[in-house]
Amino acid sequence: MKFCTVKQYFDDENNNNVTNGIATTVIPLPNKHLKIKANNKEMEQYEQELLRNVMPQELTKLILAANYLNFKEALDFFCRTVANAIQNKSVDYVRKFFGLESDFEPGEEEKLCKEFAWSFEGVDED
Amino acid sequence: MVFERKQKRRNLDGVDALDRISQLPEHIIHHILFLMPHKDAARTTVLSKSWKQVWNSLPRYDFTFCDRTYYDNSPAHFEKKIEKFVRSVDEDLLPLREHKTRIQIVQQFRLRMTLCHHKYASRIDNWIELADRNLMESLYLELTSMNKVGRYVLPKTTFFVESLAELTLKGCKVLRKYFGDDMIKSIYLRKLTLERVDVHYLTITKILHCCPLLEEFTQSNCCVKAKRVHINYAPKLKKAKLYGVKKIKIEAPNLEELYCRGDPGRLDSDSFACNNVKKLKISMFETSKLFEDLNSKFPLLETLDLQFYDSKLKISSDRLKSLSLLSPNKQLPMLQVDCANLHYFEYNCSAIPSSFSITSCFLLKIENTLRLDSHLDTFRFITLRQYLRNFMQHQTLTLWFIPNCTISFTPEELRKDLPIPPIATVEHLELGNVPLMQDYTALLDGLLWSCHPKVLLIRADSESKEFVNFLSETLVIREEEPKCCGDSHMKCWRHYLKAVKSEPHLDGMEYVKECTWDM
Repeated sequence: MKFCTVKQYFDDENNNNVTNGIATTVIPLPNKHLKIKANNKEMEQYEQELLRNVMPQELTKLILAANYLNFKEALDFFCRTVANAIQNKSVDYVRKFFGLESDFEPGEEEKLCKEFAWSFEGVDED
Repeated sequence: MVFERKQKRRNLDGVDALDRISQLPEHIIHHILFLMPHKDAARTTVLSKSWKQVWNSLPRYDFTFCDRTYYDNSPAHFEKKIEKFVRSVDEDLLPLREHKTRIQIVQQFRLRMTLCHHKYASRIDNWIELADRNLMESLYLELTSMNKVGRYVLPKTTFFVESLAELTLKGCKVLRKYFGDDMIKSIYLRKLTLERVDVHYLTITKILHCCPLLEEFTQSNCCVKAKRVHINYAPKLKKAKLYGVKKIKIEAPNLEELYCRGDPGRLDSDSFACNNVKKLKISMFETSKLFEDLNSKFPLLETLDLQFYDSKLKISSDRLKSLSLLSPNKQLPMLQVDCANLHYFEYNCSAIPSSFSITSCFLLKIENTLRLDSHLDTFRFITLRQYLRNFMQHQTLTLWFIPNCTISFTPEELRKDLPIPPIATVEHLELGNVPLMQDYTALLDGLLWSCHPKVLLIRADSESKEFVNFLSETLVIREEEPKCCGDSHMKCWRHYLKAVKSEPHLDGMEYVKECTWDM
């Protein structure tokens, strides 16, 4: 059932949602998933590997692919990977991770930091 | 929902790096946030405008549950009503319970009810814990316990909920053991209010120790055993209200507004270490000589509202702009106001100061309210005239009479050699509770000898009509060249009053007339 959408994709050449590179990562997933489902540690290792080899932008592409393919387990896995990568990290680090730039007005960011002061206490400047 | 595309940027690898994350559907970003600790998820608001938008689009709830059932001497009936209320709260909280895979924000949780049985305490615990799990930002609890039912004790974990910025407790209880000496965890409150809470004052000191972000603190009628306040750590505290205490010791370097009401209590030079206070209000406290040198205790003070009991008071400050004094004392106080920068002075007392000095070139507004005593005689009128002379212009005077007072004014008593100060002008003279009298001549003569009001106002009360009639006759119908005072150096008001004009009606006033005086 998971492969119905995949077949559809191959039939639809104008689809921009999933590029070739992604397809090669996502398609093997169901097999890997079935294999690893019981073994959390291997999943963790795979996650680390994924993070090392894949740029954050690629990761978001993976998420979009998994979402498009309606692949719930993969979606959850990739989301968790992103969540784990950015939690307990400074705002600057997370910005670099996503390739973001702050687009706030000069005083706005400061105001927000003050309003959310509780979320800034005790964070790694990693 | 897809966000605006950001401009194409080239990253270090030379590959076009669009901000792909913003292209993710909102529900996916919500899911990513859900998978992180609340603190980290909240911090994403600061990343960029689109991330702020994501945070703002999270589902939010506002809960207000208020049960106003009154006990009608039937315990069974009362409990039935409470039970009904409790069930309706459970029902309203269902949507919060149901969703377990997304971040939800409880912006406000307010509960007001009567605890008629201790079993309801655990139900309340349940509700609060549910809100705790869902990023609660503001909690308000007003819980009255019936006889024999213990006060509600807020669960310890709630204090430490990271997202909780505002907490108000009324009628509850806080356990000392929750804040033991081994406490190193932070409380993220920005605003804390404790009203009629059963808590030891040292526990409050400990709580404040854990609150590095606290900006506003109110303690009102707590601590039944020792009605004290002891604050020695409050780095960000800007506003404090301390009501119903006997002793205060507060150290708050950034405090700007401080309101204290005693039970009654006593203040001394140790009570305050708050150099940045700009606004200070004190009532129901013995203050000894605290205000003699405000420049050292409160160098930045601009507004002072003080209820004092001393018969002698000296206030000295370079920066003070506004001073309000209130005294319930019947003794004639001796006041010395040494404030060069004063713009506003308010005095509300039962006695005209027997000695008064004020040094200020900038006084723009003066309001005096005097509650007169039972016998007004010539001497009193002289004191009034002398006192009002301190203020030149810009002053308003309100006089409250007490029932059955006697008034006498005999200008003949004024000895020729006694120096009488020149008369002061009063912008508004307002009279309230003018008692019923046979003859108001002495009253009017005395008053208009003490000051020349530009506008005369009489408050409308049960007995004012008589006086108003008298005024209409006496003020308006008078001779052009009065011959009453002959060659006396002390001419009465009839010689100075040039014109009386009606003014538009004012709320609460029976009589409003504009008077023009000849200086």
